[in-house]
Amino acid sequence: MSDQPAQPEPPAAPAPVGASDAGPGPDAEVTLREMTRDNFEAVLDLKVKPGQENYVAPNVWSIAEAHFAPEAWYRAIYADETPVGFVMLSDKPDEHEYFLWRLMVDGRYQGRGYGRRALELVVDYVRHRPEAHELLTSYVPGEDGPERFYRAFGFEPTGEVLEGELVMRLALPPDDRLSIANSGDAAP
Amino acid sequence: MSEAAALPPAAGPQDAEVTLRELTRDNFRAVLALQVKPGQEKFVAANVRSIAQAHFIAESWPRAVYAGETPVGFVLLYDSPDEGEYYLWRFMMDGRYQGRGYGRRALELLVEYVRSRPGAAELRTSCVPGEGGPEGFYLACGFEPTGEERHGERVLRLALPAS
Repeated sequence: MSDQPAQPEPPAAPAPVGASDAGPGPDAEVTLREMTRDNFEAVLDLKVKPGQENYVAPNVWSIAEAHFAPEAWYRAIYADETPVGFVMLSDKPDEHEYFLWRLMVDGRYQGRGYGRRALELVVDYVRHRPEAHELLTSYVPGEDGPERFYRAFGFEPTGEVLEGELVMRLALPPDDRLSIANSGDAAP
Repeated sequence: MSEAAALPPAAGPQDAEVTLRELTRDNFRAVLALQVKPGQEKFVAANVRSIAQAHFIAESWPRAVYAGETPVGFVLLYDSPDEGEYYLWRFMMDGRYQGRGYGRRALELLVEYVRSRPGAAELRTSCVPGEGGPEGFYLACGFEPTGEERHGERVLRLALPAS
């Protein structure tokens, strides 16, 4: 049987994914949205640039892992009404551990600041989690990999190696602003 | 199973008991690693895709097919008592374990499950026609063509008479 679900899917949102390489511009509003049966296929279809595949797992793989990992917190990254990327945290309030597990922006939409903005929204979410003092991540070193992106954002190497990847951390200084904006929980 | 005896020696159980088991954090990676034979990829989506889809489709009923303690296949049922619809959405047996009767036995177990569901009068499926594809298997298991097409696939049905 093919990729088609057994039931006719509700019509996908009229996202211009695949329709054009232009897509939303650099001024598009970036939001993190919950994935649902109506938008998930478009997110599964997003791909990094050729040559970047060894830096991040395909989204289909991330969702399959999330299915079995209750600590997975994941969102679609939208630029205006176009799904452009995907982010997944290992969100463990009981252990006070917050780990950026996957972050990708589709190759067609890289270089427009969407990844940075999405990461700011993730940080905003993590800041409001219990005892969140840092956000960890790890990366595969290499040309065209994400190291520079994370460094430019403020992540610092911890010197640790996790499953062959280099670990970085972003300190989250206490912040008592009562901001509830951009928690990522509200899917417009 | 007689056809198993004709096969060259291969890794894995021969006359093992076939069971359908829930996928868990502990076994799902082994199931995601299962693959059909080269050339059969066009007949069924990769298991990783099926699981990702199942994650968002509440009516999904996914199970690993085990032979003894070895994961050998995967089945995903669209299980919708509200619509009275039971649809075999994905069904695959790893290439290393095909031809041993595991698929047929797994399908029997699936049918047993569907029979226990409310208002289950038939089990439907659909398949991509073609050499090396599953249509012959389904016909041999009692499915009949409905004449319908869905997403370019032939729709088959297995009547489930009240027992």
